[in-house]
Amino acid sequence: MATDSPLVLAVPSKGRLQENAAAFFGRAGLRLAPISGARDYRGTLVGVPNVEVRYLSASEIAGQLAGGAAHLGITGEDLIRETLPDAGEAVELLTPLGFGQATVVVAVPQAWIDVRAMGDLDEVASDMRLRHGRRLRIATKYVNLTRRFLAEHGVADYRIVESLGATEGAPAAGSAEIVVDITTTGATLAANALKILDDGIILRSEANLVASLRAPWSEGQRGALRAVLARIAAEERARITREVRAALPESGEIDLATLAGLHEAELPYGAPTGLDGEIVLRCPVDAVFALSDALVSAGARAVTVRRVDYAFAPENPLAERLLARL
Amino acid sequence: MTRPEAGGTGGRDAERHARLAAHFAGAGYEPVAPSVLQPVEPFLELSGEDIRRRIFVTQDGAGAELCLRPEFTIPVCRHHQATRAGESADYSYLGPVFRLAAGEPDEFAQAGIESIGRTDTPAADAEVLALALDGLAQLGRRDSHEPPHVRLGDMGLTHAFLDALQVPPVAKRRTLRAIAAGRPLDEVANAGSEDPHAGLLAAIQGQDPRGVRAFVEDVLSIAGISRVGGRSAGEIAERFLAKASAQANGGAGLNPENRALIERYRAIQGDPDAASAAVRALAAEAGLAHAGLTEALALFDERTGFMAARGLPIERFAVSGSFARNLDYYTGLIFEITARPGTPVLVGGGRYDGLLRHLGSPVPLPAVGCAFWLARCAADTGEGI
Repeated sequence: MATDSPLVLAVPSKGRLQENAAAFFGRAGLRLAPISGARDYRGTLVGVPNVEVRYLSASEIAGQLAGGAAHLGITGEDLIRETLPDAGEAVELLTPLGFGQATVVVAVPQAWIDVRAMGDLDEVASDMRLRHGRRLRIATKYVNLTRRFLAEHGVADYRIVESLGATEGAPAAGSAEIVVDITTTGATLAANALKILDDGIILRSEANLVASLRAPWSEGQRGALRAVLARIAAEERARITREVRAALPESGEIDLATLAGLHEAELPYGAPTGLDGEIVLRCPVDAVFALSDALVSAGARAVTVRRVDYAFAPENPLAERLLARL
Repeated sequence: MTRPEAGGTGGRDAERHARLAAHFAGAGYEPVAPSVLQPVEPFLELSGEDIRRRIFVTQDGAGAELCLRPEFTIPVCRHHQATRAGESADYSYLGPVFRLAAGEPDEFAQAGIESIGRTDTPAADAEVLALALDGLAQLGRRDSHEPPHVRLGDMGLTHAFLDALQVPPVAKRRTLRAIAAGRPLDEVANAGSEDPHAGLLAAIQGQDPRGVRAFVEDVLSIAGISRVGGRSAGEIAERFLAKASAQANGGAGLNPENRALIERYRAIQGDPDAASAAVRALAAEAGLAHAGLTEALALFDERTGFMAARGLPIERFAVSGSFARNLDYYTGLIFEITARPGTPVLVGGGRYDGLLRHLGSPVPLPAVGCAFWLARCAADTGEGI
């Protein structure tokens, strides 16, 4: 296997997703830089050798990861689940990224006051078939997600009308009765006189860092993967934890092991030695105040909490999980 | 149209297939070769959107959706409709069909017959089943020393039984679907989750239905809604009220008595005479006096008579009350022939009286047919299994 071909990192090329992805990499100390002459389609990661950045649309990224043309990519879970019938075998969702949130839902006209749940929809669909001799039409771009979800709910009397834009307008335009679409706040659906069914949530999606299981993974590419994921993991570890420092009580007596255990904290530098030693704990963001209070109660002095930029560690859960599957 | 299928069919198979085709032609079934490319619409309309996962879809220059034929019945009926609309005719076919299936070839050969327009239903049913069994013998199956297993069902009888129980149309359709899929009836019997309109629904109980309906329609028209999502305000009002009355009766689906009777119908097993007697006994016990059911049972027995008259071993046929499929398609007899119970279907068939009408026939044209999965009817190689 060629060791010199680079790891391909696929990044959204447009809009908010691109900005958020660049910000995510930026936080992890990974700066995306264009290759001169390659216009906007290709780039590199500054300071990380053997990585090629490709700018693609989010749905292309899902396809490239599935086919193995890209090793890593940022795309929505909705697109992964829609594009890949066997998502679990083709890709590994490494980590959700906290942006690009969208919920894929089944929405029906608000005027359908008799329809609140999928069970109602099944009856209405059957009724429509019996009464008008045609099937309920569903406008969506999520053909596969819709089919799978309706099959799980035993709804069979329907037809899908593929829609590639302004899906929410389809019922008003008369091209479909109901829709399966993404929504963030539900405002667009409401503005089109549509309501979400009580049990009509198909998927809560957000942007994910996704790895391809079908791409060729040479030693060089694995090395680049570890370098990229080490930074991402270091940033994530730093982001979700705080460092709590304190001076030992004057007595010098404090049961740090119990304190740490109670507040999900760890002692990354071990227990302090000597009476003027400094306690350094790392704990989840949510545990900061409880831990600080407990330290003060135990006699610790000068308790300070700080945010760290990166926390590197020899273990890299993201990379290990992925490498275990390759 | 006798192109060898992927995997290599030798001259020997071609010879067997030719023998089968000659057998059909000799019985008066005119060979036809409908086009491989077919409009996708009738398949989706009759089998549901879900079939799209299993067919090869493409487009013509104008963007109309076509598919590679996944079976022959609809193509043969379209051919009939285009050339001899409204007439009677018997057809046979042999050629490749195309389906996406994990672990099986996407292209495989099917042969079969379609008898269109005969009104002597029980005799035509018996003839098609007899030809299916004869055809299988002609193919010289590998395990032909054992008689094949024949499973029978009757969609017409099942429909009539549900009608006799006065199951409302939507619940009936959902019940049939549950039976066809082998699923429990829970989903149909369910009263559904708590309805936020429950208070209102209770309040309109016992009120004059026409008044309530007018009221609901008024409310919708005040909101500026006349016809949204293909349903009129009247339709919505009607179902809203139906829900109210169903709620009062403990749920919108099957009531417990009907459900228990359907479970017993579904459990009926036996040869045709035993099964017929069991349905009659069940109907008598439940006090069902229903012309449609009586008629369906008479047809069932008459068909059994025609099968016996043809010398078919009816005492070995297994009728099952739980056997149902493709509810928009089959209307009467359905059958499956396998080497042994539970093994892949060698020949499948049934009666589809509504199909030609659906395809645009000006008059109702009853029809019945069957299809052979030729690769599964492998030749007797003398090596055994």
